[in-house]
Amino acid sequence: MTQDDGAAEHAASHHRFLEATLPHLEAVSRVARHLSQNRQGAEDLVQETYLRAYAAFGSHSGASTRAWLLTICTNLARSSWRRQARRVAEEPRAELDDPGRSSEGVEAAVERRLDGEIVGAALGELPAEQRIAIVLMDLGGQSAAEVARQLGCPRGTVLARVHRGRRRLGELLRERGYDRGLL
Amino acid sequence: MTVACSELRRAAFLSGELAPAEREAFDVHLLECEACWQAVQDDRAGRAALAHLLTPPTPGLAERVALAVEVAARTGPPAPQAATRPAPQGSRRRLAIAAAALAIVALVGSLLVTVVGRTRAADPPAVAAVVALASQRSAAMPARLSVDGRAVEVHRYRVHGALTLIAVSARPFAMPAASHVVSGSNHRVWMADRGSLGLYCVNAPAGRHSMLAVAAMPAVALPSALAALGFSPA
Ligand SMILES: [Zn+2]
Repeated sequence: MTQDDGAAEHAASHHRFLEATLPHLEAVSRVARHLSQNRQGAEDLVQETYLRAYAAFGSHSGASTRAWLLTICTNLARSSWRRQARRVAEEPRAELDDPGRSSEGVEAAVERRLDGEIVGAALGELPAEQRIAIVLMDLGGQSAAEVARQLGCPRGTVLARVHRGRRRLGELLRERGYDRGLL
Repeated sequence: MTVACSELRRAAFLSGELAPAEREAFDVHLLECEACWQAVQDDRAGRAALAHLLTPPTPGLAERVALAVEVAARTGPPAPQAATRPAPQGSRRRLAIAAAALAIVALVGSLLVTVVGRTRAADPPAVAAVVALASQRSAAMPARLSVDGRAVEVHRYRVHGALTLIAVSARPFAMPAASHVVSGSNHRVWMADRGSLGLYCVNAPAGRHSMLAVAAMPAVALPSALAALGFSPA
Protein backbone atom coordinates (compact mmCIF):
# COMPACT_ATOMS: atom_id res chain seq x y z
CA MET A 1 0.00 0.00 0.00
CA THR A 2 1.57 3.29 -1.02
CA GLN A 3 0.12 4.94 2.08
CA ASP A 4 2.13 2.72 4.38
CA ASP A 5 5.23 3.04 2.22
CA GLY A 6 4.96 6.77 2.64
CA ALA A 7 4.53 6.46 6.38
CA ALA A 8 7.54 4.18 6.60
CA GLU A 9 9.60 6.69 4.68
CA HIS A 10 8.62 9.45 7.08
CA ALA A 11 9.50 7.30 10.04
CA ALA A 12 12.86 6.33 8.55
CA SER A 13 13.69 9.96 7.86
CA HIS A 14 12.92 11.25 11.33
CA HIS A 15 14.58 8.31 13.04
CA ARG A 16 17.72 9.01 11.04
CA PHE A 17 17.48 12.64 12.04
CA LEU A 18 17.13 11.86 15.74
CA GLU A 19 19.96 9.35 15.63
CA ALA A 20 22.23 11.98 14.13
CA THR A 21 21.20 14.87 16.36
CA LEU A 22 20.16 13.62 19.80
CA PRO A 23 23.76 12.80 20.81
CA HIS A 24 24.35 16.57 20.70
CA LEU A 25 21.40 17.48 22.90
CA GLU A 26 23.67 18.12 25.86
CA ALA A 27 25.74 20.71 23.98
CA VAL A 28 22.64 22.32 22.48
CA SER A 29 20.85 22.52 25.82
CA ARG A 30 23.87 24.07 27.57
CA VAL A 31 24.27 26.66 24.88
CA ALA A 32 20.53 27.37 24.82
CA ARG A 33 20.50 27.69 28.59
CA HIS A 34 22.98 30.55 28.50
CA LEU A 35 21.60 32.25 25.43
CA SER A 36 18.13 32.39 27.01
CA GLN A 37 16.61 34.37 29.83
CA ASN A 38 15.38 31.40 31.78
CA ARG A 39 14.99 27.67 31.82
CA GLN A 40 11.61 27.62 30.10
CA GLY A 41 12.91 29.83 27.33
CA ALA A 42 15.94 27.60 26.99
CA GLU A 43 13.85 24.46 26.56
CA ASP A 44 11.69 26.18 23.97
CA LEU A 45 14.85 27.25 22.17
CA VAL A 46 16.16 23.67 22.17
CA GLN A 47 12.90 22.36 20.76
CA GLU A 48 12.76 25.07 18.12
CA THR A 49 16.37 24.34 17.16
CA TYR A 50 15.56 20.67 16.60
CA LEU A 51 12.41 21.45 14.62
CA ARG A 52 14.28 23.89 12.36
CA ALA A 53 17.09 21.41 11.99
CA TYR A 54 14.65 18.66 11.09
CA ALA A 55 13.09 20.86 8.42
CA ALA A 56 16.55 21.53 6.99
CA PHE A 57 17.96 18.04 7.46
CA GLY A 58 17.89 17.34 3.74
CA SER A 59 20.41 20.08 3.10
CA HIS A 60 22.72 19.23 5.99
CA SER A 61 26.04 18.08 4.59
CA GLY A 62 26.75 15.89 7.58
CA ALA A 63 30.08 17.60 8.23
CA SER A 64 29.76 18.54 11.89
CA THR A 65 26.26 17.94 13.14
CA ARG A 66 26.98 19.61 16.46
CA ALA A 67 28.30 22.80 14.84
CA TRP A 68 25.32 22.77 12.48
CA LEU A 69 22.84 22.50 15.37
CA LEU A 70 24.61 25.18 17.38
CA THR A 71 24.57 27.52 14.40
CA ILE A 72 20.79 27.13 14.15
CA CYS A 73 20.43 27.59 17.89
CA THR A 74 22.57 30.74 17.91
CA ASN A 75 20.70 32.28 14.99
CA LEU A 76 17.34 31.57 16.63
CA ALA A 77 18.51 33.10 19.90
CA ARG A 78 19.75 36.20 18.12
CA SER A 79 16.52 36.74 16.22
CA SER A 80 14.57 36.36 19.44
CA TRP A 81 16.79 39.01 21.05
CA ARG A 82 16.08 41.32 18.16
CA ARG A 83 12.36 40.73 18.65
CA GLN A 84 12.55 41.51 22.32
CA ALA A 85 14.48 44.68 21.51
CA ARG A 86 14.99 45.32 25.14
CA ARG A 87 17.13 43.76 27.76
CA VAL A 88 14.97 42.06 30.31
CA ALA A 89 16.46 41.72 33.74
CA GLU A 90 17.82 38.25 34.34
CA GLU A 91 15.28 36.10 36.07
CA PRO A 92 16.56 34.19 39.02
CA ARG A 93 18.00 30.92 37.91
CA ALA A 94 16.92 29.22 41.09
CA GLU A 95 14.51 26.34 40.40
CA LEU A 96 16.13 23.96 42.84
CA ASP A 97 14.02 21.10 41.64
CA ASP A 98 14.66 17.64 42.94
CA PRO A 99 17.99 18.32 44.58
CA GLY A 100 17.86 14.91 46.19
CA ARG A 101 17.28 13.10 42.94
CA SER A 102 20.84 11.92 42.48
CA SER A 103 22.82 9.79 44.86
CA GLU A 104 25.15 12.56 45.95
CA GLY A 105 22.88 13.77 48.75
CA VAL A 106 20.72 16.81 49.06
CA GLU A 107 23.31 19.12 50.56
CA ALA A 108 25.96 18.45 47.96
CA ALA A 109 23.43 18.75 45.18
CA VAL A 110 22.16 22.09 46.45
CA GLU A 111 25.70 23.35 46.85
CA ARG A 112 26.66 22.28 43.38
CA ARG A 113 23.53 23.90 42.06
CA LEU A 114 24.30 27.14 43.88
CA ASP A 115 27.81 27.18 42.42
CA GLY A 116 26.17 26.90 39.03
CA GLU A 117 23.84 29.79 39.90
CA ILE A 118 26.71 32.01 40.91
CA VAL A 119 28.81 31.26 37.85
CA GLY A 120 25.78 31.51 35.58
CA ALA A 121 24.89 34.92 37.01
CA ALA A 122 28.44 36.19 36.50
CA LEU A 123 28.46 34.85 32.96
CA GLY A 124 25.24 36.75 32.36
CA GLU A 125 26.99 39.99 33.28
CA LEU A 126 29.62 39.72 30.57
CA PRO A 127 29.27 41.78 27.40
CA ALA A 128 27.17 39.82 24.94
CA GLU A 129 29.93 39.14 22.42
CA GLN A 130 32.20 37.68 25.08
CA ARG A 131 29.41 35.66 26.63
CA ILE A 132 28.34 34.18 23.31
CA ALA A 133 31.88 33.24 22.36
CA ILE A 134 32.40 31.54 25.73
CA VAL A 135 29.08 29.74 25.60
CA LEU A 136 29.73 28.39 22.10
CA MET A 137 33.30 27.38 22.81
CA ASP A 138 33.49 26.33 26.47
CA LEU A 139 29.93 25.11 26.98
CA GLY A 140 29.24 23.99 23.43
CA GLY A 141 32.58 22.19 23.29
CA GLN A 142 33.53 23.63 19.94
CA SER A 143 36.81 24.77 18.43
CA ALA A 144 37.59 28.44 17.88
CA ALA A 145 37.38 27.82 14.13
CA GLU A 146 33.84 26.46 14.40
CA VAL A 147 32.75 29.38 16.56
CA ALA A 148 34.39 31.83 14.16
CA ARG A 149 32.29 30.43 11.31
CA GLN A 150 29.13 30.68 13.40
CA LEU A 151 29.79 34.26 14.40
CA GLY A 152 31.22 35.34 11.09
CA CYS A 153 34.40 36.78 12.55
CA PRO A 154 38.08 35.85 12.46
CA ARG A 155 39.29 33.02 14.62
CA GLY A 156 41.68 35.32 16.48
CA THR A 157 38.73 37.51 17.42
CA VAL A 158 36.97 34.53 18.94
CA LEU A 159 40.04 33.58 20.98
CA ALA A 160 40.43 37.16 22.18
CA ARG A 161 36.75 37.43 23.17
CA VAL A 162 36.86 34.13 24.99
CA HIS A 163 40.01 35.16 26.82
CA ARG A 164 38.61 38.55 27.78
CA GLY A 165 35.37 36.96 28.93
CA ARG A 166 36.96 34.19 30.99
CA ARG A 167 39.30 36.70 32.52
CA ARG A 168 36.44 38.98 33.51
CA LEU A 169 34.57 35.99 34.87
CA GLY A 170 37.55 35.03 37.00
CA GLU A 171 37.82 38.62 38.22
CA LEU A 172 34.12 38.90 39.05
CA LEU A 173 34.19 35.69 41.05
CA ARG A 174 37.37 36.71 42.86
CA GLU A 175 35.90 40.11 43.73
CA ARG A 176 32.88 38.37 45.17
CA GLY A 177 34.95 36.04 47.25
CA TYR A 178 33.81 32.91 45.50
CA ASP A 179 37.23 31.90 44.38
CA ARG A 180 38.03 29.65 47.32
CA GLY A 181 34.94 27.63 47.95
CA LEU A 182 34.06 27.47 44.31
CA LEU A 183 37.20 26.82 42.41
CA MET B 1 64.12 35.85 24.14
CA THR B 2 61.46 38.21 25.37
CA VAL B 3 58.03 38.88 23.96
CA ALA B 4 55.85 41.93 24.29
CA CYS B 5 52.49 41.91 26.08
CA SER B 6 49.80 40.87 23.67
CA GLU B 7 46.28 39.84 24.40
CA LEU B 8 46.22 37.70 21.30
CA ARG B 9 49.36 35.91 22.34
CA ARG B 10 47.92 35.30 25.80
CA ALA B 11 44.75 33.95 24.20
CA ALA B 12 46.75 31.65 21.93
CA PHE B 13 48.90 30.52 24.84
CA LEU B 14 45.84 29.70 26.93
CA SER B 15 44.20 27.71 24.18
CA GLY B 16 47.42 25.77 23.65
CA GLU B 17 47.99 27.08 20.19
CA LEU B 18 51.47 28.53 20.46
CA ALA B 19 54.31 26.66 18.84
CA PRO B 20 56.70 25.15 21.41
CA ALA B 21 59.32 27.87 21.01
CA GLU B 22 56.73 30.62 21.33
CA ARG B 23 55.24 28.94 24.35
CA GLU B 24 58.60 28.81 26.09
CA ALA B 25 59.18 32.46 25.35
CA PHE B 26 55.76 33.33 26.74
CA ASP B 27 56.45 31.28 29.88
CA VAL B 28 59.50 33.45 30.46
CA HIS B 29 57.44 36.57 29.87
CA LEU B 30 54.89 35.41 32.42
CA LEU B 31 57.56 35.33 35.10
CA GLU B 32 58.41 38.94 34.43
CA CYS B 33 55.06 40.48 33.63
CA GLU B 34 52.60 40.87 36.48
CA ALA B 35 49.77 41.99 34.19
CA CYS B 36 49.97 38.92 31.95
CA TRP B 37 50.41 36.63 34.93
CA GLN B 38 47.23 37.92 36.58
CA ALA B 39 45.35 37.78 33.28
CA VAL B 40 46.32 34.15 32.82
CA GLN B 41 45.33 33.31 36.39
CA ASP B 42 41.95 34.97 35.94
CA ASP B 43 41.36 33.22 32.63
CA ARG B 44 42.09 29.86 34.21
CA ALA B 45 39.85 30.64 37.18
CA GLY B 46 37.06 31.67 34.82
CA ARG B 47 37.48 28.54 32.77
CA ALA B 48 37.48 26.34 35.86
CA ALA B 49 34.32 28.05 37.11
CA LEU B 50 32.60 27.33 33.81
CA ALA B 51 32.83 23.63 34.65
CA HIS B 52 29.93 24.27 37.02
CA LEU B 53 27.77 24.99 34.01
CA LEU B 54 28.47 21.69 32.27
CA THR B 55 25.17 20.32 33.44
CA PRO B 56 23.15 17.56 31.80
CA PRO B 57 19.93 18.43 29.99
CA THR B 58 16.76 18.71 32.05
CA PRO B 59 15.22 15.26 32.55
CA GLY B 60 12.66 14.64 29.83
CA LEU B 61 14.07 17.16 27.38
CA ALA B 62 15.27 14.50 24.95
CA GLU B 63 11.82 12.93 24.97
CA ARG B 64 10.15 16.28 24.46
CA VAL B 65 12.39 16.99 21.48
CA ALA B 66 11.86 13.52 20.01
CA LEU B 67 8.11 13.91 20.43
CA ALA B 68 8.11 17.31 18.74
CA VAL B 69 10.07 15.92 15.80
CA GLU B 70 7.83 12.89 15.62
CA VAL B 71 4.76 15.10 15.50
CA ALA B 72 6.37 17.35 12.90
CA ALA B 73 7.17 14.29 10.83
CA ARG B 74 3.54 13.22 10.94
CA THR B 75 1.79 16.49 10.47
CA GLY B 76 4.04 18.80 8.53
CA PRO B 77 5.97 18.61 5.33
CA PRO B 78 8.86 16.41 6.41
CA ALA B 79 12.48 17.03 5.78
CA PRO B 80 13.18 14.74 2.92
CA GLN B 81 16.73 13.60 2.53
CA ALA B 82 17.14 13.85 -1.21
CA ALA B 83 14.39 11.45 -2.17
CA THR B 84 15.80 7.95 -2.11
CA ARG B 85 13.01 6.53 -4.18
CA PRO B 86 10.17 8.02 -6.16
CA ALA B 87 7.14 8.62 -4.01
CA PRO B 88 4.21 9.27 -6.28
CA GLN B 89 1.59 11.32 -4.52
CA GLY B 90 4.11 11.89 -1.77
CA SER B 91 4.44 15.62 -1.91
CA ARG B 92 0.77 16.07 -2.61
CA ARG B 93 -0.07 14.02 0.41
CA ARG B 94 2.40 15.96 2.55
CA LEU B 95 0.82 19.20 1.47
CA ALA B 96 -2.56 17.79 2.24
CA ILE B 97 -1.39 16.75 5.67
CA ALA B 98 -0.06 20.23 6.34
CA ALA B 99 -3.21 21.79 5.03
CA ALA B 100 -5.31 19.62 7.25
CA ALA B 101 -3.92 21.64 10.12
CA LEU B 102 -4.03 18.72 12.45
CA ALA B 103 -3.90 19.70 16.05
CA ILE B 104 -0.65 18.52 17.51
CA VAL B 105 -1.13 16.06 20.24
CA ALA B 106 1.19 16.08 23.17
CA LEU B 107 0.47 15.36 26.74
CA VAL B 108 1.79 14.79 30.15
CA GLY B 109 0.53 12.01 32.33
CA SER B 110 1.70 10.24 35.38
CA LEU B 111 2.07 6.49 35.32
CA LEU B 112 -0.38 4.69 33.17
CA VAL B 113 -2.70 2.48 35.13
CA THR B 114 -4.41 -0.71 34.21
CA VAL B 115 -8.07 -0.45 33.49
CA VAL B 116 -9.85 -3.75 34.02
CA GLY B 117 -13.34 -5.08 34.39
CA ARG B 118 -15.12 -1.94 33.29
CA THR B 119 -18.68 -2.49 32.23
CA ARG B 120 -19.60 -0.36 29.29
CA ALA B 121 -20.06 -0.78 25.59
CA ALA B 122 -16.79 -2.04 24.20
CA ASP B 123 -14.48 0.55 22.68
CA PRO B 124 -13.73 0.34 18.95
CA PRO B 125 -10.96 -2.23 18.46
CA ALA B 126 -8.15 0.19 17.57
CA VAL B 127 -8.92 2.40 20.58
CA ALA B 128 -9.19 -0.62 22.88
CA ALA B 129 -5.85 -1.93 21.60
CA VAL B 130 -4.04 1.30 22.40
CA VAL B 131 -5.67 1.57 25.83
CA ALA B 132 -4.67 -2.04 26.54
CA LEU B 133 -1.12 -1.26 25.52
CA ALA B 134 -1.08 1.68 27.92
CA SER B 135 -1.43 -0.70 30.81
CA GLN B 136 1.51 -2.86 29.75
CA ARG B 137 4.55 -1.01 30.96
CA SER B 138 6.84 -3.71 29.64
CA ALA B 139 5.47 -3.62 26.09
CA ALA B 140 8.20 -3.15 23.51
CA MET B 141 8.11 0.21 21.77
CA PRO B 142 7.47 1.43 19.21
CA ALA B 143 4.70 -1.11 18.78
CA ARG B 144 3.12 -1.86 15.44
CA LEU B 145 -0.36 -3.20 15.85
CA SER B 146 -2.61 -4.61 13.24
CA VAL B 147 -6.23 -4.11 14.20
CA ASP B 148 -9.10 -4.88 11.86
CA GLY B 149 -6.67 -4.91 8.96
CA ARG B 150 -5.30 -1.45 9.71
CA ALA B 151 -1.84 -0.55 10.91
CA VAL B 152 -1.44 1.43 14.13
CA GLU B 153 1.98 2.60 15.21
CA VAL B 154 2.40 3.35 18.90
CA HIS B 155 5.26 5.27 20.46
CA ARG B 156 5.93 5.71 24.13
CA TYR B 157 7.60 8.81 25.49
CA ARG B 158 8.63 9.98 28.89
CA VAL B 159 7.75 13.63 28.96
CA HIS B 160 8.94 15.42 32.08
CA GLY B 161 9.12 12.07 33.76
CA ALA B 162 5.70 10.86 32.69
CA LEU B 163 4.85 7.97 30.41
CA THR B 164 2.88 8.94 27.35
CA LEU B 165 1.54 6.90 24.43
CA ILE B 166 1.00 8.36 21.00
CA ALA B 167 -0.71 6.16 18.44
CA VAL B 168 -0.70 7.08 14.78
CA SER B 169 -2.73 5.52 12.04
CA ALA B 170 -3.59 6.23 8.44
CA ARG B 171 -7.22 5.67 9.37
CA PRO B 172 -9.27 7.62 11.90
CA PHE B 173 -9.84 6.25 15.40
CA ALA B 174 -13.56 5.64 15.68
CA MET B 175 -15.17 7.50 18.54
CA PRO B 176 -16.15 5.29 21.48
CA ALA B 177 -19.70 5.43 22.77
CA ALA B 178 -18.62 6.94 26.08
CA SER B 179 -16.80 9.99 24.82
CA HIS B 180 -17.49 13.51 23.75
CA VAL B 181 -16.77 15.52 20.67
CA VAL B 182 -14.48 18.47 21.09
CA SER B 183 -14.64 20.50 17.95
CA GLY B 184 -17.94 21.39 16.37
CA SER B 185 -20.39 18.74 15.38
CA ASN B 186 -18.16 16.39 13.43
CA HIS B 187 -16.30 13.54 15.03
CA ARG B 188 -12.84 14.81 14.18
CA VAL B 189 -11.60 15.53 17.69
CA TRP B 190 -12.87 13.57 20.63
CA MET B 191 -11.97 12.89 24.23
CA ALA B 192 -12.80 10.11 26.59
CA ASP B 193 -11.89 8.96 30.08
CA ARG B 194 -11.21 5.34 30.92
CA GLY B 195 -10.70 5.08 34.65
CA SER B 196 -7.61 7.15 35.36
CA LEU B 197 -6.63 7.26 31.70
CA GLY B 198 -7.48 10.21 29.52
CA LEU B 199 -7.81 9.75 25.76
CA TYR B 200 -7.48 12.57 23.30
CA CYS B 201 -7.88 11.94 19.61
CA VAL B 202 -7.41 14.10 16.56
CA ASN B 203 -8.79 12.44 13.44
CA ALA B 204 -7.88 13.48 9.95
CA PRO B 205 -9.88 12.87 6.80
CA ALA B 206 -9.23 9.53 5.13
CA GLY B 207 -5.74 9.16 3.76
CA ARG B 208 -4.10 11.37 6.35
CA HIS B 209 -2.65 10.43 9.68
CA SER B 210 -4.81 10.45 12.77
CA MET B 211 -3.44 10.42 16.26
CA LEU B 212 -4.62 9.10 19.59
CA ALA B 213 -2.89 10.12 22.80
CA VAL B 214 -3.25 8.26 26.09
CA ALA B 215 -1.98 9.25 29.53
CA ALA B 216 -3.06 9.11 33.14
CA MET B 217 -4.83 12.42 33.45
CA PRO B 218 -8.34 13.63 32.80
CA ALA B 219 -8.91 13.91 29.07
CA VAL B 220 -10.06 17.49 29.51
CA ALA B 221 -6.60 18.40 30.86
CA LEU B 222 -4.80 17.16 27.77
CA PRO B 223 -5.06 20.27 25.58
CA SER B 224 -3.54 22.49 28.26
CA ALA B 225 -0.86 19.89 28.97
CA LEU B 226 -0.18 20.18 25.27
CA ALA B 227 0.19 23.94 25.54
CA ALA B 228 2.45 23.66 28.58
CA LEU B 229 4.82 21.59 26.52
CA GLY B 230 5.15 24.37 24.02
CA PHE B 231 3.20 22.72 21.24
CA SER B 232 0.57 24.62 19.40
CA PRO B 233 -1.88 23.56 16.73
CA ALA B 234 -0.11 23.31 13.40
ZN1 LIG C 1 52.77 40.89 29.65
